[in-house]
Amino acid sequence: MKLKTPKNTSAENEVLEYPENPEQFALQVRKKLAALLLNRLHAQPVRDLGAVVSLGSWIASTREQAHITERDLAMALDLTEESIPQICSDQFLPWTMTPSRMADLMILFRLHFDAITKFLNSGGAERSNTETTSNAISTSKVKPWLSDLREELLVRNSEDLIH
Amino acid sequence: MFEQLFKDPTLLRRLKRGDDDAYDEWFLEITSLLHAYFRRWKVRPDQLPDLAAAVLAELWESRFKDYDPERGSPGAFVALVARRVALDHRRAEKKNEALPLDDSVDLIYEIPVPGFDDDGEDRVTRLESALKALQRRERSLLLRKFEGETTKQLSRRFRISESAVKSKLRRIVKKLQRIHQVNSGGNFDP
Repeated sequence: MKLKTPKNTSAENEVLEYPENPEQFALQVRKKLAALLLNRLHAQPVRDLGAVVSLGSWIASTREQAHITERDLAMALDLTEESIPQICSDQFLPWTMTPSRMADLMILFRLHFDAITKFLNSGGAERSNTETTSNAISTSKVKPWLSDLREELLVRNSEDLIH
Repeated sequence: MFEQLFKDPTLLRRLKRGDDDAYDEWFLEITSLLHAYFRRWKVRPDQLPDLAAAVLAELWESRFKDYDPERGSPGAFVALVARRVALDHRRAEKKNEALPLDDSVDLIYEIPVPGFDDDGEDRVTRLESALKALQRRERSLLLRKFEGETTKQLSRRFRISESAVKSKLRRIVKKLQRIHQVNSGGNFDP
């Protein structure tokens, strides 16, 4: 079956339907684009961060591989643009983020729960942020956080990032 | 229609320098144009952001490497990618074409969905046995419809007219409903 392209006549051009709110439409597309590019990069959830030094550097390199700007990423995560370099330079330890915020990040980057637990168990967070080694990973702090994070992913129907 | 994206040399220079504000400006323009383009293809409004994002993803990933200046302008290249996305979308829509919009659709909504009904599993089992009680040809017609075959395809396959396909489907769904009612303890009134 041959599908035809709509004809591009001048009469039709006059009634082209532009978005009622272009900024809002552009924002919607920008969010979808970031998710689509990252999804194409990691069709399967990432279960291991590999040999990267930190979660932040992994996010930074993945963002670059997917050709996403910091602004795109900030918009996709509903964050300020200034917070992206902070995340990428590990100024936030994973468990200092709310489980909801971390879930946003994991869903967008297709990061599996195992990758986060492996990273924490390997002492990755301590390596990546020497200034916070005094806040050594406290099991009493991290365990409930991981449990809340798992719960948050389940609530968002992201079972593929858990199982 | 996408030519205007590449007409402002100042904007393009700013884009090349990696100016984020220029990118925002350009992004706003291309998304508005894509919105207008896909509306001409009668794409549903809720699907527009996905299609626009698909075009941009193609452009981003290819980084215009497929673009050949000898074959046309960059605007024409964007149009080509958008057309490809629109065609893929239309093909997918055709493939997932819904059941005919006649009364059989309403009857199908009577079929319980597991998880939405407390006794869903039992009702599904009864429905399975009702399906088995249909004649082979009736069951085949109904299942092929559910699997996405169009009325035209069914008409060719079963060598009956398209209107006969529609009326048979209506009758089969009604029959299935009656058998299902009997299996559920109701009265069967053929």
